[in-house]
Amino acid sequence: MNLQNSIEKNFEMLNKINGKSSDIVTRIIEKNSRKIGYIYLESVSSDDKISDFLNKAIINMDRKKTFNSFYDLIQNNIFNSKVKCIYTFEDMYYHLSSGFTVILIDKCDKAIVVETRQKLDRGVTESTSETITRGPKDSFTENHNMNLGLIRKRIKDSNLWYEEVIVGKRSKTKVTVAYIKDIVPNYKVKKIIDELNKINIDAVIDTGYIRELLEKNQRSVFPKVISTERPDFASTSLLDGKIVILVENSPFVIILPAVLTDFFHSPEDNYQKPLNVSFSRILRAICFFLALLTPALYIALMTFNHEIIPDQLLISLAIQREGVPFPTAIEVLLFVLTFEVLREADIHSPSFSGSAMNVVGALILGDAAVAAGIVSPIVIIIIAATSISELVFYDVDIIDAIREWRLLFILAATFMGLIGFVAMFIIFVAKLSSLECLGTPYLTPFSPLKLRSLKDSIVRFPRKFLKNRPEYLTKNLNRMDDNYEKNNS
Amino acid sequence: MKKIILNLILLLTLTGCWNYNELNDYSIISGVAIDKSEDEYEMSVLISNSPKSNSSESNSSESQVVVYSGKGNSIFSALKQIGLISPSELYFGSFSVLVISEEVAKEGINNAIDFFVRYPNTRKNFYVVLSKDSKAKDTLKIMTPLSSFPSQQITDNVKTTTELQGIIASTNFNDLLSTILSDGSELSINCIEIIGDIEEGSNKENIESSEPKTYTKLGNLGIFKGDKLVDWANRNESLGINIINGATKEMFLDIEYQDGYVVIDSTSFSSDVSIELKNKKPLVNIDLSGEARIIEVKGNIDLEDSKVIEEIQKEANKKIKKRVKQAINLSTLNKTDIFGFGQMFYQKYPKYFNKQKDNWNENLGKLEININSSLMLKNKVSSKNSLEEIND
Repeated sequence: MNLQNSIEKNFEMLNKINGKSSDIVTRIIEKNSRKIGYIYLESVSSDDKISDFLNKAIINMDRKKTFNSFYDLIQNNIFNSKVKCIYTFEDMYYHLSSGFTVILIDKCDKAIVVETRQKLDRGVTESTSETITRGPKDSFTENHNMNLGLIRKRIKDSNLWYEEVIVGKRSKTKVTVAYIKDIVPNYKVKKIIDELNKINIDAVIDTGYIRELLEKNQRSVFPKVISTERPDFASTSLLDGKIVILVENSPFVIILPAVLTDFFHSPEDNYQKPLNVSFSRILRAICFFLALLTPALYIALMTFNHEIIPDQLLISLAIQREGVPFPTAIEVLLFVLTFEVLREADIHSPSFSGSAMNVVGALILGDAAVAAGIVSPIVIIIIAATSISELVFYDVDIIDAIREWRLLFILAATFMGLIGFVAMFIIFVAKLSSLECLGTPYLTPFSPLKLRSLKDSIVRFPRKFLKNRPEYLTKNLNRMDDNYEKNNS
Repeated sequence: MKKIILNLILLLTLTGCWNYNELNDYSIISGVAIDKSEDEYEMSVLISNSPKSNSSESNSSESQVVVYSGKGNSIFSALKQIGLISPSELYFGSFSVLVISEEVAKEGINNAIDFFVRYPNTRKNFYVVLSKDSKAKDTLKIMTPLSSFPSQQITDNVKTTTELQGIIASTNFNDLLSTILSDGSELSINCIEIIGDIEEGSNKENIESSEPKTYTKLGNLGIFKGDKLVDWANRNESLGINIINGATKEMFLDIEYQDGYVVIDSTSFSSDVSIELKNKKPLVNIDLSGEARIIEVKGNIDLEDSKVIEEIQKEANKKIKKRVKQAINLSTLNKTDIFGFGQMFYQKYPKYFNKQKDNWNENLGKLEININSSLMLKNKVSSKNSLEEIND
């Protein structure tokens, strides 16, 4: 719907489409016998800015003949760097919600919008979900521009491109695709932007919406994108040749494509000594399998394949199980479930009830259950080892994925022992190798084998060996400046 | 896809859990003993996972052991008798020692061990020992303070002393089978003896006292002909047998020298037995080598003199040769080839051995055996001469 050329009619129209919302402020000023009206939403705009700059500018304005029309005069006299011209009510409302002030002029069917946004976010704070011991501490916030800036200030390269897509019929959320032009192949960016344009949804409140909509083609519990709130990690990913998607009002950005080994990495890995990093990564890889397989292996050995257990251990295990009323599988499932309940309760509980939870979790469930003869001590150890192992990962999604596959493994081991366990492992590997994101298979660099990329997957070589970007992400492999040696010699 | 999923669900649920068994439904057997009582076999099993009578005690990993026995014309019927006593299924998958009584061994062990060869649920790497002068069952009953149950005491003892002492050689069931089944080699198995009173030893007080009244001790080798026990070797002969068989890696020798003695200890002893046919006559060469050091000295011996060292070395080699000869004498006396020379000839000269096979054991004495011992004495003790002499 186009704007009309009477201020009052426009005001009326606005009230009609917005139902006289309480935060709409309108005012009409007469200047040089021309009426000037402005509208803003006091909930998202800053009153001070409007009074200081806008009102003053309009009232102190002198009429000079240099401008063709009154409209141009106002447009050129406003003390603001962000001034736009709009013609429709849809545009007007979008700008009002974003914190702009709309200036309407009598006998004009267009309006000027001026940025008078109020600061509605918390500013850059320390990351809470990905804490590290060394390295930059800032994290993304809910402010979209600030997020873009946090990346921009780290990569001062003209090849860092931001492409914006507006998603959501009602929310009209800005979604920015960030990539480095000469590293990322063009078709990948095009594919993502096409996908984003295809999204048909009323609102995008968080990155999670976008991620879900992008991953819809292949159902899997394993995450195919990395979610992070660290701008430093997003920047290193960009430099590797990955694509970062930022969503307005969300402090989490998504990085894609991701491969399985990415989840064994931590943002900190780039700031530590390579040998220590390699050690941690190998540890995380071991923990991945421990968290996934331990309970299933325990069930398989305890109920089907006793002959594998060494003699003395077998006797010790048998004595520990004596008097436990449940079958091993039920016993394990019971405690796996208990731990999940504890974790679920812990995540959402405010910190003051944490200590109560510790007492219930550690004392009552662990100690008392053994003393009461409901579970054997070894099961407590198994579950504890499993749970601790799964908590070494930074990404919540991979923890959830492990949790679900662990249940499948437990079921397979319960019905068919080691045979079922091995069969499930084959299914697991087959499933993992069938996944792909933007044409990158999930098990790269192991399958397909990319020897050069192995230097920075399960281990990290010293930086002087990491001259190339991962070959599965880009064709522009060389990280170093070709002319560097020429210029310096 | 739906059909596949349906099939999978049916496959999982309708086939049941094949081979499913909870661990606490088993009586885990850790030792087996075979005795003869009158004309029947008496089989005893040591069950080691019985929970303690009072579960309030905190140390739940410590077990109380139970010995059950049953009698029958065959081992299996004896086993079924035990099944009547035991509350849960007997589990043979992890037992570690089989004790065979002297009586059974003298009559022939083939019938006794046949069950263990055929029974699918047994592991074949358990140790086999003979019980001397006592019932095999009793050796399973002796409680020892240093191991949680008797059979473990026996296996640990066999395992460690095999490496550290010359006279013990571990025999596991696989070795035993391959020796019995092959031509030209005979068995030699260690025995186990009970020192002290059996009743007292099977009581719990035996563990609580700091000097146990009753204990089991590994002893000398029993030598077999076919599947029958024919003779016991003494200590020296046992050492000789193990030297030839290559089972001795470490050993000590005390050598009388001048008016005192010298004890030498060898930790890298090895034997190499080779055979050949010389002018159609069988010839066996036994080459023994290794290094030894002086570990104890008594008397006025000048160890700084290289001639003295040489003489001691000569004496040591002489003594080793003597032990080996004693062992060979025992073997020829009983007409049983416990060293497996026949097997070696079979491998190298099958035609020759097949001709001689039937009376190989009888002609053992005619075998020409060369023994060559070259133990090197490396004196690396801190004080070269004995303390007595230094004090003078």
